Amino acid sequence: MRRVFRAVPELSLVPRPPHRENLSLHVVGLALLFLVPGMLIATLVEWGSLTSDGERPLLVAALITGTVGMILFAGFGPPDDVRPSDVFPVVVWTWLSCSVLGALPYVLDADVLGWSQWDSALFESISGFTASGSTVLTDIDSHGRGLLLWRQLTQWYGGMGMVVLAVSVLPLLGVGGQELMRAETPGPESDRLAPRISGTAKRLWLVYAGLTAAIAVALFAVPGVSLYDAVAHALSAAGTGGFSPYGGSIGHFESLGAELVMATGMIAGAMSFSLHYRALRGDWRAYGRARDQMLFLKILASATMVITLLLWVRQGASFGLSLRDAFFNVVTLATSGGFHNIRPGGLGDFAAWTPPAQVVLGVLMLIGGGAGSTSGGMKVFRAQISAAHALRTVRLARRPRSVVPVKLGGAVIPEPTVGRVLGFGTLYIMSFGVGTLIVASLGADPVTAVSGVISALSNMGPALGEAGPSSDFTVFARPARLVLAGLMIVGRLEITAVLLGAAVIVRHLLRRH
Amino acid sequence: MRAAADPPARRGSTAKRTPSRASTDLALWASGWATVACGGGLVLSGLVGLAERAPAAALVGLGVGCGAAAGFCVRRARVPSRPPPMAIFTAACSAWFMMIALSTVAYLLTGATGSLPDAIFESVAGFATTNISVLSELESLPVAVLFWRALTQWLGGFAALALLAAALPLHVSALVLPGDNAGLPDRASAPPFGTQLRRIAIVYCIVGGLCAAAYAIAGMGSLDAFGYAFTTVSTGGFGNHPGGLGYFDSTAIESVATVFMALAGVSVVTLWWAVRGRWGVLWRSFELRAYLLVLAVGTAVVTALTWSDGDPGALRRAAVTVTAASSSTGFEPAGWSGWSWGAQTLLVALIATGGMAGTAGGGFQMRRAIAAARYAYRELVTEIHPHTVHVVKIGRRSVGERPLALLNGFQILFAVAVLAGIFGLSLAGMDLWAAAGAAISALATMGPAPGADLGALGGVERSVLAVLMALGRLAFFPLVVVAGGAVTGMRRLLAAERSNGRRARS
Repeated sequence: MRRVFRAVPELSLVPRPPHRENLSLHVVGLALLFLVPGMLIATLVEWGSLTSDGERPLLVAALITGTVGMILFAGFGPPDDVRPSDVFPVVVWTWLSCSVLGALPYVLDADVLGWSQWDSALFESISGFTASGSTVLTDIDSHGRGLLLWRQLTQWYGGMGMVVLAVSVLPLLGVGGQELMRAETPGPESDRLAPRISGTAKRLWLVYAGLTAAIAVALFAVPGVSLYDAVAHALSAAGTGGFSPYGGSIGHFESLGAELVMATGMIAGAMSFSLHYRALRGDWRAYGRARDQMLFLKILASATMVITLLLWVRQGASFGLSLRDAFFNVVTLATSGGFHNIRPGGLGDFAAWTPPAQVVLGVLMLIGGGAGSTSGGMKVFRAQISAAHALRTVRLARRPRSVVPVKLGGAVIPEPTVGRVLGFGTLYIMSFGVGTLIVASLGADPVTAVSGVISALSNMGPALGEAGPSSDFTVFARPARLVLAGLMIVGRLEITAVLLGAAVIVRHLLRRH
Repeated sequence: MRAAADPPARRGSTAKRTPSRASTDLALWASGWATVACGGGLVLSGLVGLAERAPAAALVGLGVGCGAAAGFCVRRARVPSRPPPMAIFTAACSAWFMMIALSTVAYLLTGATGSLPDAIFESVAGFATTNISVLSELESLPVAVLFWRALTQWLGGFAALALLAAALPLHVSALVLPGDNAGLPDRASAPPFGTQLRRIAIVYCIVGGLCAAAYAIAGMGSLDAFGYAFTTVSTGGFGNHPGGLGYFDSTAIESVATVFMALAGVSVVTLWWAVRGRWGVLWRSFELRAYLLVLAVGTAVVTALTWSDGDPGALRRAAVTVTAASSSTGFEPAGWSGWSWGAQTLLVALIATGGMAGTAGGGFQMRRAIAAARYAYRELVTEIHPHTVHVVKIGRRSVGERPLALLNGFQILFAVAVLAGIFGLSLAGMDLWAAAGAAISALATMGPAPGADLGALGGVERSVLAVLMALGRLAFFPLVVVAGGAVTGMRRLLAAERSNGRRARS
């Protein structure tokens, strides 16, 4: 049976202009319009920085994006009926459009990448919007402040998601809006914070903006960090992105304070924003009740301990240094942040760590952060359900006639949810396998290929092997970079939305012709 | 297990027997038969040695002694008619470990290995049908030992197939055997264990015999022909000479090996129907088509990726290597560590995927992979149509929800074992790619892996690899369930001790 969601146009107070019904183009237009303020702010910063003259490409990109956005938003409107299958193309089109138009500042400026490197620009843009943090820009410090701020802003937009942003101001989507949010929000279910779904989206974005501001203020309080640096890093820390206006990332500051602030910010970004909202409303115990979020913190602590020991014993570093670098890098990899703290005398280059420590990092990348956060990876919730299911099957093998539910913290997880998680696991392994084979066939060594693909699917940033934090993704061949960029979108939208969106789009095209 | 079901029915009622008693009885029965089989193998190896005028009296003595004692025990064993799963798993594990123990004694008696850990590891690798050996100078070993070494893999392969048939009603093996009409059979539709075992033995022996004959025609000596046939059909990979098949440097021998390795990766069920002349089954088997497609595409891709070397033998080398990897037969291909990264990665992926279900090979296996992909597709469709009822099918046959649940559990256990194996091996000093290849290859009961030098293994590496081989060979569930049962039993014992102590004090 088909579920049909009916919007309620009667409730609209503003008379709607005549338009063609197309939800995808309508939402794409709105999402593009939201990018324009970001581009304009970047233009202003570039104009005011006086160090370079790259404001024109940013302004032109803003004009093009604004025009396209306005035409699409005004020319198309939401249909009266929104079916579940309609929401997936919306999400796919929105992400593709934002990635393409978000790449304009890179291609319009010949000093940055230029048209000849359109694929690199697209990679950088996708890496930004998916909050991955892998980069193909070399000599980052030499680029204009405005362009680098735009690069940070892409991560901020993508962290919470452009569709969620669009839903927050679209009052007429009804239950379809909830489906839209579910398709884009990381995690198995999206929480409701307000009676109306646009209210929920608004609250999530407000908490997100508040967290960004808090990180920026805390970072600004650290000696040696300018206001620009504080804001730029806060934008990508809240979105667990990983871009930095400096090639040295956080290691540029050579400051323990900056590392601690960034780590705290990334941990907050990798925990559910619904919980942050509840905590801000006074319900601090909400954190304790969310077992997956608590488990995430325990994983961080255990991994830090294991890696500290490995670095201390195997690499002969001092305990204090091992603890500092283990903590920061565990946080940045587990939250899918992707910053690094390579500095003189430090141990920040995790691609050069002892192999078992790198295995632990790989597992952290796979698991990712908490549900409903800006982090990537499979999410702790899914890992918990998978582990519980594996234990259940061992009991089933022993007692074939028994009925064993999957339980987390005493609560029974419904079978459809377990099925979705297991199906996601299979799709993840398949995407990983296919991606690795393609990337390795294009010339990358297996460790670089495997870690690069996991990094892309988990929206992490740097990988291991040759694509470690001291290097960049230019080590991959140009076609391999496009594959990795595709995997970043697949990972950010948690595979299902991309596959279903693509399937629905293809079906529509076939029907028309 | 229907297995134990039929012959034992005459040996008395089991109604009053407790589950633990049933487990013990069945374990004794299975271990007894395993010992009898090993005893026969040892005697045969000894006789082969004596025929070649090599010292082998110790093997004959050990074989006769063990075989006779175990035969006596088996005659006396009282086997439950419908054993619980725990009993089946315990029996499988005890039989497997009994064979390893016997083989260890045989290696030590003949002086083939210098130390107990070496003997244990060689035996585990043999019965796990994995080609990781600690014996370095094969040429200097007595003939009887080489024959026994190959025979351990032959017996290990047969034991693996017997376990699949025994555990069939439990759905843990995702296997279809003759007589099945509705996908994965339940107790009612599966033929008795004895019948299944007989059919498996027929197929196994026919394919083995043909393989030995083909090897002999291709130019091998009779001893080598049997030795290599044992390890080809069982997907083992041990050789009587160093350097794998490359030692012979013969296109004919490599072609024979390719064909029989590919056959070893085909389900015994399918082969049984082929033996019976029902060729249509071969075409209708969706899994077989998928397996052959993987072999063909894998060979084509590896040929393309290694073609740049300008070597005219690229296709032949690719075919042998891809078949060895896909069927998890561990004949070590020469020079694959120097191949392009894409080819190496593809080979490791093929090793992980494995051949068809219902073979002596390891890996995730084609049947499970197809079912997992279909399951994921169903979950995708359910996202759009939440109330739809979507049955997962392989070919035209539906797969039940319980086998699917177990399949997903297997998938998770497989992934966790790979990650834990990589961690363990890297802790022992291997680099990441070598550790990943070795862990996957050992778990898939293949053995060698591109990039991994398994020539000189340390104690930690051996332990990790042995655990992985055991898990892969016993398809996780028997070992995990028995280990879990043992832990629970120990806990109960401790709790009982504690309460007794409290009572005594009070």
